[in-house]
Amino acid sequence: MITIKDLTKIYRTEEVETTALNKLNLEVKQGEFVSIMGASGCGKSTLLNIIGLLDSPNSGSYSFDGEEVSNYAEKERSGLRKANIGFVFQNFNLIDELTVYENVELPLIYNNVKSSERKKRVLEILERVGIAHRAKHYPLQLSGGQQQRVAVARALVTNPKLILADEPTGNLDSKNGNEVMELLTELHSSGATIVMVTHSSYDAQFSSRIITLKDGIVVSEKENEYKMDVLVN
Amino acid sequence: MIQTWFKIFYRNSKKNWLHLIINVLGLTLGFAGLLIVLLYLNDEQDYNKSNPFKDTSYRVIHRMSDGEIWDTSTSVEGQKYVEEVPEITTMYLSDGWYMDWVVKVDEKQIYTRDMLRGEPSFFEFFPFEIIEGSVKTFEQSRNHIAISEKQAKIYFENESPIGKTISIQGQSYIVTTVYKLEGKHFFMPSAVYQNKKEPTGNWGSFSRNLFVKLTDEADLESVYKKVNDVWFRNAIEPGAKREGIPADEYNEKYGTEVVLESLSDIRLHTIAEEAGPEGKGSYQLILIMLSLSVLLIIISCVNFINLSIASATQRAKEVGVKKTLGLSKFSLIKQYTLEIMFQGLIAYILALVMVELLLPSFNEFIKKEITILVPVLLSKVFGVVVLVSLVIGIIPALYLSKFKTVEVLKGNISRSKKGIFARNIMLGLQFLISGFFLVGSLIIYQQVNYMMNKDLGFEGDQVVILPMNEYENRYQKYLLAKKELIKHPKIKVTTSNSAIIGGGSSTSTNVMYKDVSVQTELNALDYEYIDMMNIEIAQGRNLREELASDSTTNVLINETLAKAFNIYNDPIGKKITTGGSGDESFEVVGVVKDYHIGGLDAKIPPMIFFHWNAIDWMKQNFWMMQVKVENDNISETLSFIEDYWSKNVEQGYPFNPDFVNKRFARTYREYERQKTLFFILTVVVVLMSLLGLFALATLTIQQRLKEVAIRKTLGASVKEIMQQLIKGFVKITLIASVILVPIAYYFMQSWLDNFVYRIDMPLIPYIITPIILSALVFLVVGFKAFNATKVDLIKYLKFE
Repeated sequence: MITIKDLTKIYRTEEVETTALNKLNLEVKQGEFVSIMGASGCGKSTLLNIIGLLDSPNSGSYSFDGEEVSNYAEKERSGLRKANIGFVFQNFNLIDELTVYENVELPLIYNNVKSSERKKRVLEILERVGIAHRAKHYPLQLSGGQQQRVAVARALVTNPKLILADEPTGNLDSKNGNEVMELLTELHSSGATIVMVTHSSYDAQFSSRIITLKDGIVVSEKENEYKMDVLVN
Repeated sequence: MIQTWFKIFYRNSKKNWLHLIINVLGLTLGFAGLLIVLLYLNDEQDYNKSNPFKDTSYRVIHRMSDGEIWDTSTSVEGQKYVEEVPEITTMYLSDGWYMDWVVKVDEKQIYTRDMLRGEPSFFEFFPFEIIEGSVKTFEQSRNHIAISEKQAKIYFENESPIGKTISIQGQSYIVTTVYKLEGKHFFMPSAVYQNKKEPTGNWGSFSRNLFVKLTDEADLESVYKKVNDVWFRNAIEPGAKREGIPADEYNEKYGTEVVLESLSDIRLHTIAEEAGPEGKGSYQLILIMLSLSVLLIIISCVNFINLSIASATQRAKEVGVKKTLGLSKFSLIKQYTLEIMFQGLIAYILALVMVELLLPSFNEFIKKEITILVPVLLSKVFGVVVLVSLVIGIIPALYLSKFKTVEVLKGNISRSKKGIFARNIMLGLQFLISGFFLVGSLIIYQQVNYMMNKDLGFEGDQVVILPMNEYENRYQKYLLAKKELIKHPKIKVTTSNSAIIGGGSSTSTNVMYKDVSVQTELNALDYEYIDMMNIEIAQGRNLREELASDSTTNVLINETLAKAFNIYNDPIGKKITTGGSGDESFEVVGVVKDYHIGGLDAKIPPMIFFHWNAIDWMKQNFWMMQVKVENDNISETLSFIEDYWSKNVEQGYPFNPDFVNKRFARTYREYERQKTLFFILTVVVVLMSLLGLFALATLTIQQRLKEVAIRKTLGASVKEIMQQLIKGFVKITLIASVILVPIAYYFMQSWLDNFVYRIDMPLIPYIITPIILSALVFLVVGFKAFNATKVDLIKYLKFE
C-alpha cells in the first residue's frame, strides 16, 4: 500500500541544515499495523507527516496505493488525504467549539457525504468506540481517554484506507492508554492498515511490525509474533 | 533595563511593523480629530471671554406672538428701561451691523469697512484698551468718533489722529479716541461713530441692536418681569387703545415678549438667528463633532487592544522566559505599558503634525484663523494621550502577564472566550457608524446634485449684478447708467429689480383681494427684467413701457399668489390692494410662472411685480443694477463697466460685480460644505473601521489557527476554510446593516426636511452600503483568512 524509496527530507534555516530523513526506504502492506520507534529527533514524526501528506519530501519517491504522490500539489494532497487517511494525534486535536458529534461529522462534510448518511455513520462509529452517550458534549467536558476515542472515531468515520497515529497514548494514563491501544488493535483485526509512531515499546507490542529509526534511516525491523495473543487478552 | 526594554520593543516592532503602523495610525486619527474639535471649540469660546462685563451685559431681543425670535429691538425701549428699571444701569443702542463707507480724511477718499454707528456708550459695554485720547471725551459729543489702532495707521500713518476730522456721508466727526482690538468680541469695528441725534422711533419698528447692563446683584428673573412690564405699558396698552380692544386681547394677538440674552452666552447659545456682525457658533455642531471624536478615540482604543492581544500571543515566549528569570508580574505590566505609552506619544506627535498640516484648509473651510498654539489645550490633549495609553497598555499587559509560565514555554496559550462578544459589538458599532456615514454621504450627494440641476424657472447666465453702496440719488444714477451702459456693443440688457435672485433684502406687505389677505413679497422692477431672466409669463402679458398704466396701476402676480387668492383660473383684470389699509389699488395683467428666488430650502413666496414708479417708496430698496453681457470677452466688458462705475456712479468704492448664477449657487453653499464635511468624515470613519476590522480579523484568526490546521488536515479546502473564517464577520456586517436602516432613515429624513424642494428618500444607499461594507469585509478578512489557510500544519497540530 505504501512504498517509499530513497526518501530525503532536509530542514533548512538561514544557517543550519538538518537532515530529518536520509534516503529512507519503507514498505507497508495492506492490513499491516506498523509501529515506528526511535529517539527524539530521529525523524519518525517527519516520516509520519510525509506519509500523511501533511509534508512533502525533498527527494525520493512515495507511492500511495500504487500512485506516485511525492510531487503532488497541496490541492491534490488534500483531496487524497480526506478520502483515504485518518489521523489520531497525541494531543487529540479536537475543535473545542464543536460537540463530539460535530467533530466526528466534520470529515464527512468535507467529503461531501449527504446529511442523512452522515448522521447514520457518525452514530454508528460513536457506538463502536463507546462514546455515543457523550455525543452532545464538548471535548473539554470529557476525560483524556474519552477525547482520544472521539479522535479515533473521527479518524475512522470516512472508512480510510490508512490510519496514522502519532503517539496516541502520549497524553493518557496507562488505563486510558490501554483502552485506546485495544481499540486500534480491534480496528487492525477488522482489516485496517495502521501506521503508529510511539515512544512506548509496550504500545509497540500491539503492532504487527516494529521499525526503528535513527538519524533518518531505518536501523531495524522486527516482525511481532505475539500480536494475536495480545488480541486474545 | 531601559535599554533591554527598548531593544525588545524595537525588534518586535520590526517584526510586526504592520501592527505598529495600524495601531499608531488609529490613535493618530483619533487624537487629531479631538484636537481639531477642541481648537474649534476653544476659538468659539474665546468670544467675549475677555470682556469684564460679559456677565452683566445683556442683549435685548424679542419673541413675537407667532413664536419667531427677532434679534433686533426698537430704538425707544432702551431709554425707558434705564429710567424705569432700577437694576438696569445703562444701555447701548446701535445699528447692530457694520457699514462700509468711503470716508473723507484730509481730502483723501478712503474706503472703510466695518464701521459701527450707535450711541455714545459703546465703551461702557466694550472696554477696549485705549491707546490715545479717552473714552470720556468720546462720550462728550455726538460729533466724536473712535477708531481702531489699525484704522488709525491707514488714515494717518504715523501722525496722531486725535483732533483730526473724518467725514462720513457728508457728516463730520472729530477723532477723540484710538482703541486697540484684542481678543474676540461681539463687535470688532474699525471705527465707532455716533448718531448725530437722539434716536427716535416707535414701539413697533424693530431695526436696532440693544444692549443693557445690569447691576451686579440684579436678579435676572425680576428684571425680566420689569422690562416686560415696561413693554406692556408702552407698546401693548397704546396699541390696544388704537385698535379699540382690551389690552390682554391685543397682547395675545400681537404681543411681544422681551428676552434678555447674556453676552457670555450669545456666541454659542443664542436663540436668535444671528449673533451680531461677527457671526455665531454652532454649539450643536461642536457637540456632535466632539462626541464623534471621542467615539473615534474609543474605537481606536478597542482596535489597539485587539491587535495588541493578537500580537501578544506571539510574544508569549518572551514573557515566559522573563518570568522564569524572575521578573515580577508588576514589572512585566510596567514594561508593556511603557511600550504602549511610547506608541501613544508617537501618535500624539503625529497628530500634532497632522493638525498643523490640516489647519490651513480647515480654516478656509470654516472661515476662521485657528492656530495650533494653544498650550493649555495641547497639554490637555496630552493628558488624554497619557490616560488613553495607560488604559490600552494595561489591559493587554494584564492579559500577557497572566500567562502561566510553564504553559507559555510549552507554547500553550488558552484562548479567552470572554470578551469575544464585546469585541463583536464594538466591531458592529464601527460598521454601524461607517454605514451611517456612507448612507448619509450618498443621500447628501444626491440632494445637492438635485439642487444644482433643478430647473429654477429662470436663466441667470451672463447676468451681472452691480451693487450700489451710497444712499443718495441711487435711482437717478441708475437711470443714467442704464442709458449709458447699453451703448456698449457687448452689453445686451440693462435693468434692475428689488427682489434679487439669490436672496438679499426683501420687502413684504399685506396684499388683499376681496377679503383674502396674503403677506406678499414686493418685487419692483424695470420692464426688461422678466425677459432678461427668461422668466415665463404663465397667463396674460408682461408689463410694457409704452403703456402708461403699466408704470402706475398694472401689476403681475406669481402663481403662488394667484393660488392663494384663489384666482388662478381667471386672474386677469382682478383688482388687488396693498398695504393692509387698502389705500393703493392695482389691476392684475399677468401671472408670472413661479421661479426660485431664495435657496431651495425656502418656499417660493407669494409675489407681486410692478414697475419702480408704481410704488415710489420702493426706490429706497434699490440696491443693485443688473446687466446682461455677451458671452465673449466678459472680462473686457466688466472692466468697461468698472471704468464707468467708478467715474460716474460711485467713486472710491470697490467694484464688486457678481453673477446671478453664482449668487444663487451661494444659497446652497452651506449644503455643499456639509457634503464635503460628510465626505471627509466618511473616509475617516470607514478607514477607522477598516483598521478595526483588520485588528479583530487578525486576533480571531490568530486564535483559530489550530482549528484551521485541524480542519485542513481533515481535508477542508481553502474555500471551505475561508468561508468558515469570514462567516462571523459577514454576520456582524449584515446585522449592523439592518440596524442601520431605521437610524439612518430617521436622521436623513429630518435632514431632507430642511428642503422644501427635495429628493424622495432614495433606496439605493441602503442597498449599496451593506454591499460596500461586505466587500470590505471580504477584502480584509479574506486576505487574513487566505494567509491563515497557508498555515504550517505540523506546527499547530504538534505543539498546541
